Amino acid sequence: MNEKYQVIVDALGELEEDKFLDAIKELLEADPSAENAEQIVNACALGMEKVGEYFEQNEYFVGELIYAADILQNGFDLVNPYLSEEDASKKLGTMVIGTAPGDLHDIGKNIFKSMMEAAGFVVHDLGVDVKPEAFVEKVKEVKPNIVGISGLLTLSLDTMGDVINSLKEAGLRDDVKVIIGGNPVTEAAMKRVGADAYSTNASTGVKQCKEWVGA
Amino acid sequence: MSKEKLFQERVDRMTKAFKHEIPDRVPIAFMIETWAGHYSGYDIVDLGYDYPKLRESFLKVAEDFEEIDALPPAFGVRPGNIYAATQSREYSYYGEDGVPYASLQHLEAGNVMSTDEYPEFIADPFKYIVEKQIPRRYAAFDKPEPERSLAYVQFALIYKTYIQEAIVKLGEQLAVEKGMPSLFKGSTEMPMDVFMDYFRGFKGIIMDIKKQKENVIAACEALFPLMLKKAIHNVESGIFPGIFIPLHIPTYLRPKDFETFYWPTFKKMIDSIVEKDCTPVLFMEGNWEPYYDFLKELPKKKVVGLVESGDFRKMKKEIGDTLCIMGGMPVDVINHSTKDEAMKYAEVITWLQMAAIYLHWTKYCFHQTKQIQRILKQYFRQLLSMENINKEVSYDYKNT
Repeated sequence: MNEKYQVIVDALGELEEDKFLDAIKELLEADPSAENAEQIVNACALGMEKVGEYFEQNEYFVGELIYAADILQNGFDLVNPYLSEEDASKKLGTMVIGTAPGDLHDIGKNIFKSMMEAAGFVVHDLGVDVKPEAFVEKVKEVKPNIVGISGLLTLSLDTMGDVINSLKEAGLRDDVKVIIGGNPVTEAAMKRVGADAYSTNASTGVKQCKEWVGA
Repeated sequence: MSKEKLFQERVDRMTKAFKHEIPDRVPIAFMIETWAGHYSGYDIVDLGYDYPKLRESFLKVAEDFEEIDALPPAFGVRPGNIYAATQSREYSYYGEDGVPYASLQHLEAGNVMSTDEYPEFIADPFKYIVEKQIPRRYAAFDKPEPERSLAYVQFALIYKTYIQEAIVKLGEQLAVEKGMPSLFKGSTEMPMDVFMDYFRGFKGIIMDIKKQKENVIAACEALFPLMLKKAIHNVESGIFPGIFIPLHIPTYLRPKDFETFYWPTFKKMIDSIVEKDCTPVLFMEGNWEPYYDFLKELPKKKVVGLVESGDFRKMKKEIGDTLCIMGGMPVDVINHSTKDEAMKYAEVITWLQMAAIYLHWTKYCFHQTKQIQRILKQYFRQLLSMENINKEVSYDYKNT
């Protein structure tokens, strides 16, 4: 990577918001081309990877993930007008997400959603207490790569299974990867309900989703 | 055995455990909330709105599970009547179709205080709470004076009824009719958790500590006296029952931020409660391993830690000298485990208990089936058998 973009990678990785935004502004002022804008977006992705690495090393906690996603969004707001139409609409993949039937708790889902969007996914958010039929309908409509079911209540570990069974009955299960997330999910729960992955934090969940779409 | 004697025996057992002395057997505290209702054939609407049904449910649990040594007051069930009277949507008992949820739903209070209001809060916390924060959370108080003051008075009467019917009367019945002590006699929250839960929301407070550090620190200090008052005002001194303190945000903060924002008022709160000769009982949600060095600085053998999961052995080793650790079989294991898995947990807990003191607790939200009752019964029996004293058992529940 050209050195002038490295400052973006580092500033985002270190969560230095002003430095990060100033660097983007300067680069865009010097060169408003779509190509330059795309390089900036690539640098942002590398910066987020750095954030993820710090998280895995227990340097960063969930608070830093949320802050990073927010900083990144502010950066994207600056870059977006300069991107070519093609680049602006380029996405890593598509996801349908909602909280498990019977569960209204959505703080975790919202964090995960913003992290997924920051990573470059299109996220269709069905909201809270999402019935299995609503998941099925949306999957039929938008044909996502991934379905995410989030929950806080231990009861949700069962209703997540209801969603997955409905996807099976509708013949859609093999077309998507399913990830379950939230405080109570475990590997045992993942196997029991028939999901492909589980995550108790947004960072590893996003990493898994990126692997699935080959990013 | 008379109920008085049974009551005293249970209190002694819990007190010994809180003091890190060895009781006659593993004390069992049963952290049920709405499950008492499910077990007794009621739904959460029955429990939240109908005080006699609430009392009946807890009394039935006390009757059927005589292995238990203490039950929490029914605060965790939450008062539906109060949320209805104050026009709050923070706790939801039933869906739009009127059908009760299987479990109580807690919606985030969210952005009740705006980012630029910290100075106003810091200048006069109580005034801000009464005039801004409460009216924004509860529509019933969002009125001009004198209507607002009148609404507060009306609310006080409803609240008094709730406390009398759901807490005081139930506590007396449990003690007199079942010989069952209460696990807690008071509760509070740490200032920074209050800001997350009731003022700024999760994302809000996370952004504030990055963007207005000094204000967050000052606001926690400004709120501290009120939260300490909530903990010990009108509470009698004594080791047991404890003062319940759920800790919410810490494990989302990196230790550096924990130290800067959470720790100062956290440490002060614990020290002040201990000074009054009361026992703080910390509900330690999430993984606390990164913060063990802080916990070691708390007063020794004066604080209880309620843990949901984690590496129990490491926990005992690292912070077991400081905290009395209460923990046990996670809810998902209770819901779905085989008898063997439950027995294994009981072995581990009994064994660790011998290393110092270990209590058992188990949390809300499990299913109402008879299967669960059987698992719990077997589990309790195993816990009480004390077969595993001094016997090291294989231990592989690290990440459950």
